[in-house]
Amino acid sequence: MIGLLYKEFLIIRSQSKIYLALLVVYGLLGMYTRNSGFLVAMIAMYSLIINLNIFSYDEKNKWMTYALTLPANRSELVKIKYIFSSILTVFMGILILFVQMFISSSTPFAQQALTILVTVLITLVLYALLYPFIFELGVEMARIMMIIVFVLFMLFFIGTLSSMTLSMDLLQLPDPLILIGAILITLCLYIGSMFLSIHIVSKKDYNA
Amino acid sequence: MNSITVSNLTKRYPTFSLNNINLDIESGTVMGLIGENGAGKSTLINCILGLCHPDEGLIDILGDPGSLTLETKQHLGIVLESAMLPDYITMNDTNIMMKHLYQHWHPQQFFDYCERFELPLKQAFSKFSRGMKMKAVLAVALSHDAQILILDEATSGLDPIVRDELLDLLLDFMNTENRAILMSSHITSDLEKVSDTITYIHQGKIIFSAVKDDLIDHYRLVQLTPDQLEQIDPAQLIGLHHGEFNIAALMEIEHILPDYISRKPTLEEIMLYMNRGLKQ
Repeated sequence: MIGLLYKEFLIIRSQSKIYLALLVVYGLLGMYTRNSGFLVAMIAMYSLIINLNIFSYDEKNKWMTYALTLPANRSELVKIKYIFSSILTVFMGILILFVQMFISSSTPFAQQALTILVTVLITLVLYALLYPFIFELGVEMARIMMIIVFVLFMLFFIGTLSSMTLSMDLLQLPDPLILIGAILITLCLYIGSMFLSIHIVSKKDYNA
Repeated sequence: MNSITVSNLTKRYPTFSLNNINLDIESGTVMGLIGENGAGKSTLINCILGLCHPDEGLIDILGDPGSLTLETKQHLGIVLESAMLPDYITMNDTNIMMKHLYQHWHPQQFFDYCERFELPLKQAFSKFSRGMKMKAVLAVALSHDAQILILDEATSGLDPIVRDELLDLLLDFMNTENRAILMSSHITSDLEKVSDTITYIHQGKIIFSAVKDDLIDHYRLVQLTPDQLEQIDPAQLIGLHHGEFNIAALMEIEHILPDYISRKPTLEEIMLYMNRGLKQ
């Protein structure tokens, strides 16, 4: 599994310059406008773009077909996608948190961390919704679904959630139990989605 | 001992079926798989590799019946025509990846093949030509002590020099005992060079599976005059071609008369004339 996970990380190397440049641009934009909403949205955006790019490349090269001839089974190939997506999303969240702390140093850390946490959880829910479609229909066919889900997410987050979390007073931070509940629900959705994707992939023919 | 045994394999698609395929690939032999486009060669290979689910039948690889296990895959080297390594990885990356997948991965052997094939180690796969990509995948297939190589149209689209190199490698591979190769190709001359046995698939069925030399020795391509043709029992004509100046027919050697002008056919001619006969 380590070899397969290594392959997923390689795409970051090939596209890192673009993402770093965008990070700098949005970071400066955030500093200028004193609004780190763009940066927070990048957690989902970057994470999704990178993962969808991997799926696109995989489809173009019929990677699944080739990978199944290696000592790897179908469930491993699915799990790798979910593991990589979660690692990438959490990493993006931590990175953006540090950048955000630099930009909005007046905002309490707890609020910033909460915003990032919520965004990471929403991104994982997005994956949970999208991945079974991608495994079943392919990236091209699932594109419409992706656009709808992503637009809804952006409207919801930028229009609603960012103003709510950023304006929250320290005394009004949610009960830790609510946070734990949200994390557990997200994990259940994510893992459930993974098992659904494994079921989909186990039935498919991957013809060369 | 058989390296691969296929028993009563059937795979149904809406417009095509692979029907009741029985095949044995013995250890120490190279089997060439021939057939026209859409005959079922790739479907058969896909079923053997577990890429698609057969509707009926059993596949046994190295004594491991049923679904292909991870342990069995350790002993397989696969080269497929269109399924490849990702565009964004390099040969160095491939080595790292395969080191963690194969128990008997030999990095030095892999890099030796890269050098022999003149494959740059730090260049992304996307920049490789088709021939280079095939060589890269073959380098992977040959670098982990595989016992069986399975190649599906691996030489198609390659120039004659590269094809010749690949065929030499396959013959080198067979120098070690207890190895086997299953190779499908449209380029029957390639199969004539390396194969011990030939299996011809037509419309999802096996028409013949025989030792190559016996096959070629069993048939003759005969030039006939119209008078000679009239005297021959049609059942003896496996396939017929009315050319502009002559009539050519594929016949079994026991039906050849002394006054016939005949020669040994090539594998391609056997396939072409049989295909004509099947269509008539």
